[in-house]
Amino acid sequence: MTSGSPDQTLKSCIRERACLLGALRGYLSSHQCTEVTTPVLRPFGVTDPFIASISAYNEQNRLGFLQTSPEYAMKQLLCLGSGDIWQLGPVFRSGETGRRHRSEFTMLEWYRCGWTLSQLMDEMIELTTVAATAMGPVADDALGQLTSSSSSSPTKRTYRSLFEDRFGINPHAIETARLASLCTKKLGSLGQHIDPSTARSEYHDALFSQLIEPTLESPTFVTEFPREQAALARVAERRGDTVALRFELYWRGVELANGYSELGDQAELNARFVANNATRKAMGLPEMPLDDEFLALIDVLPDCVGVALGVDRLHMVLTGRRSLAGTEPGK
Amino acid sequence: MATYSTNEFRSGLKVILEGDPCSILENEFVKPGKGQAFNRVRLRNLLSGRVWERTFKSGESIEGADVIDLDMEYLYTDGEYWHFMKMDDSYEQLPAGKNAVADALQWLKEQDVYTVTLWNGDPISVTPPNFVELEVVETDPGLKGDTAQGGTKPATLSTGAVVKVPLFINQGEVIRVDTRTGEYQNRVK
Repeated sequence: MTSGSPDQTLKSCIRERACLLGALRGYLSSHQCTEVTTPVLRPFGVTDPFIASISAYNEQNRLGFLQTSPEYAMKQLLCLGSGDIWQLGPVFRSGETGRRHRSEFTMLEWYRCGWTLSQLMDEMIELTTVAATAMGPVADDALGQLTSSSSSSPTKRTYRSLFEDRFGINPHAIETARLASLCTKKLGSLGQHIDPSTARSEYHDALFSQLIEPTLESPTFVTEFPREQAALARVAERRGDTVALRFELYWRGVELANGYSELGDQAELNARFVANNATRKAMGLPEMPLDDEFLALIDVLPDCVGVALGVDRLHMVLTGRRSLAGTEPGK
Repeated sequence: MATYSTNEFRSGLKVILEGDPCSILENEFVKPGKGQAFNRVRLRNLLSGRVWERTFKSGESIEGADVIDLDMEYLYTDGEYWHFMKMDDSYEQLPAGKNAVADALQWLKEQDVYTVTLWNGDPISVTPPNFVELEVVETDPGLKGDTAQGGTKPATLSTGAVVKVPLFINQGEVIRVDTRTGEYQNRVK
C-alpha cells in the first residue's frame, strides 16, 4: 500500500487525532482538574446575537437547544462546588460552514479556581506543547514554533496595541463615527453595511478579523478586548480604558481559544442577556429565553478563569493544515 | 433578476458588483467566535477581466447578473465589430466590440465556433477553444535535419497570431496551438 492511499490517509488522521485527544485528556487529568460531562441538549440556547443555537425537537414538543459551548452548564457545577473541571465534547452552531468552520465541532473547555488569566495562558501553552509532542513528527514544525522562537513566545498583545500598530488608534477610546470611517476607508463597501444596533462591536470585528487576525502567524495571545465584547467575562479598568478581561489565542492566522476571567454577577449578566435580546430583535433575529438555571446560581460562582479551545482547529494548526478538511475522520 | 445571499455564493455564480457583471471565484466564510460573520469573496470582473477581492457581511445579498455563455460561430468583421451567429435555429447575429473580443482576436477564424459571454444579451467577452488549428502563412524556410535540435522560429498564422514553431514547419502547413499559452502543439496532416 502506498502512503498516499485514501485508506492510509484516513488511518493517519485517526491516529493523529487519537494522540491529540489522549494528550489533552491526560494533561488535564494529571493536573488537578476533573473531567465532567454536562448535557449537550439543554432547555436554553445562548442570547449572543452572532451565535445561532440549533433547536432540537422531539416529535411536536420542543425540547431545547444543542449547546453552543458547555460554559453555562459547567459554571453551574462550579457554583455547586465542583472545583477545577474540564470537558471535551461536541458543540453546535447553526450556519457556520467554511474552510475553518463547522456547524458541529469538538471543544475542550476547562476552569481554574483562584487562578489569573496569565496563569491560564501559561497552562494553555504547556498543554499545547504536550499535545504537539504527543503527535510526533507531523507536529514538529508547530512544536518548533511553540518552544524555540524566543523567551517571549508566545507573544501576548493587547487588543489596543494591535489596533495602535495597524491603524494608529485606540480601539477603546475612538468615537464610533471615526471607527466607522476607518472601517469604510480600510474595508470599502463592507463598512457601509454595518448594522447600527451593533455598530461599534461590528466595526471592531470587521477590522480585527479582516486585517489583524490573518497576520497573527506565530502563537499570539490577544488580551483586553473591547467592553462590548465582554460576553460572560469581567470588565475592568486597564491603562485608562474599560476593557473585557478576556484573551484569545491565535496561531497561523486562526482563532484557537477564548478565555475569560469569569463574571459571577447575576444582575450584570441578566442585563447583558437582555441587551443581547434587544440587539437580536433590532436585527430581526429570534429572541432567546434567558438561562434561568444559570442565572439562579451564578452569584455564588467562585473566583475563576476558564477557556474554550477548538480541538479540530488545534489539530489543523498543529499538523500544518490550512483547512479543517482532513482533520475529521468519518465526516 | 434574482438576488443572491452570501451563503448562496458559489464558484461560477454571476453577480453585479459596482455596476459590473462579475463571476465568483472563491467565497470564504470568516467569523470571530462570538462576533459578526463575514464572507471574503474573490470575483472576476467580466468586463475588465480583473480579479476583485471584497468582504461582505454574511447574509448580505447582491443582485445576480444575467450572464450566459453561448457557443457561436464567427462570421466576419466590419473593422469595428466582430459578428457572431447563434447556432440554434434562430441564426441570430450579434456584434462584439473590440473590448469583448480582446485577446481572442488573434485566434478568430471564420466559420469556427467560440464561446461568447452575453450580459443582458450583449457580447462582453469571447473565449477561443483551448486548441485551434491554423495555417502557417509566413515563416522562414524549413531546415532539414534540425528536427532533433529543438530549435524554434517565429511563424505567422492565418489569423495574424505569431507563434514559435519547430524549424521543420513550412509555410502552408496547418498547426495546432494552445490558445491559453500561445504554444505550438503539433503539426496537423
